[in-house]
Amino acid sequence: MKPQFQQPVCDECRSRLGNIFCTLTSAQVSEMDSEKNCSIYKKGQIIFNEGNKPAGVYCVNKGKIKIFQTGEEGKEQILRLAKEGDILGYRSLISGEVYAGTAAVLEDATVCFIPKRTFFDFLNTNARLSTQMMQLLSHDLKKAEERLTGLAQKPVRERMAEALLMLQEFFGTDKNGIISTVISREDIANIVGIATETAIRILSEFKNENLIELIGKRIKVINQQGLLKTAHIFD
Amino acid sequence: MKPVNCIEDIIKNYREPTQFIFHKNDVIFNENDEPSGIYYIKSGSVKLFKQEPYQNQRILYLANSGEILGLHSVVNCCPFTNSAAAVSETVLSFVSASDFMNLVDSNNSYKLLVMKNLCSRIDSMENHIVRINDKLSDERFADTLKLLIDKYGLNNSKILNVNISLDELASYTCISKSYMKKIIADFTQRGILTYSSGNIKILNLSGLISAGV
Repeated sequence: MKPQFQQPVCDECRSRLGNIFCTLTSAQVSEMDSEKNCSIYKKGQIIFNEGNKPAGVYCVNKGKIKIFQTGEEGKEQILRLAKEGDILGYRSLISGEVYAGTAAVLEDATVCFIPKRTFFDFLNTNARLSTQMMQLLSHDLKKAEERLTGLAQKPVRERMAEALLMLQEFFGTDKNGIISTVISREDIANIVGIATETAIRILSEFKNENLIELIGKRIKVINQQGLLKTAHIFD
Repeated sequence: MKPVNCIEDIIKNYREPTQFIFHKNDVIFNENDEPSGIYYIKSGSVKLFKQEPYQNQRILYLANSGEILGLHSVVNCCPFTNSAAAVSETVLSFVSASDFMNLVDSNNSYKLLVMKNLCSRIDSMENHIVRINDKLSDERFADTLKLLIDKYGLNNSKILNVNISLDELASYTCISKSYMKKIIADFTQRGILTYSSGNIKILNLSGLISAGV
């Protein structure tokens, strides 16, 4: 018999405590709990598609997600990665535009959907939530600026080193120091904004320079300082 | 009371904004400065850029009259993440950070307008990121020109309503200045445009549009 899916309870959700919904009143938490719909998504499944009209926001309870745009030649450009506690789809909802990107699952995920009406009710009645939302968007803009500057200015080796450090920070490491996710070479290339072949070549160079270790599809940073130096990031 | 449809209206309608005039290339604020307030562009145009090594500038955004500057730094109480300089003679209205935040905090619907403005700026930044990776240099230059035409318009002689240097065009298109010269020479030869002392005259708009695809 197929095990029944246990819907996460907002009041007990640790992911919620780390995001903007931590500002909700207990009545709003109960409302969100009754209005939300949670689903399990398998690796590779699409949560929403570029060009579709948003009907609400998504709150990641568990798992890892990539948000990407597809270029005219069909190549993906990964713009952001999301994990437990992150909210997805809020920009399109607020601006009243269609989704600017597609969200697809990198690691099996549980994602809760909060309807548009409920989300806007909260925004209109909870001043702390709307302030946090403004700050979150301001932070997103700062990140987009940094990304644009990095892409335009830095050579590919620097960008790859930066991407690996970002992946290490984002996903964390297991007890052996290996980045806690399996991310394809193609996805790495799409984060850095280079061809997959180039990504494979640079990863191999980094391995030969003893900066990283490649364990199948997994990556371990073995020389953090060396990678920081390659990325031209200084403490 | 005048209607408020966007965050720019709040500043435009503000009862006592301070006004400043900046001449071409005057710096309005510098990256890492503490944000003292929000600027509304009454007339003129402004470039937002990051300073790069060897005195290079990386232009991230070109703003036109009716747009505001400094919003995300004021909202987040963090230093300016980029510098701003006038591209042409520019008149700005200024509202201090505390006055602006008091206004925004006084009305929750204003916060939604702030959010919409930030969303639109992020979208523009992300589209730019995708363009850099997805398109060839000449396609990107055609896209830059289309964006400049949409933003600033053409006068009766089909000349772009903003004077923009080779350095600025190269910086915004994310290519080197020497390659920028080569692409402009190529576009000139194809009869798409002429370029002289910062003035761009569009001779063949449909040719330009197809060059960006």
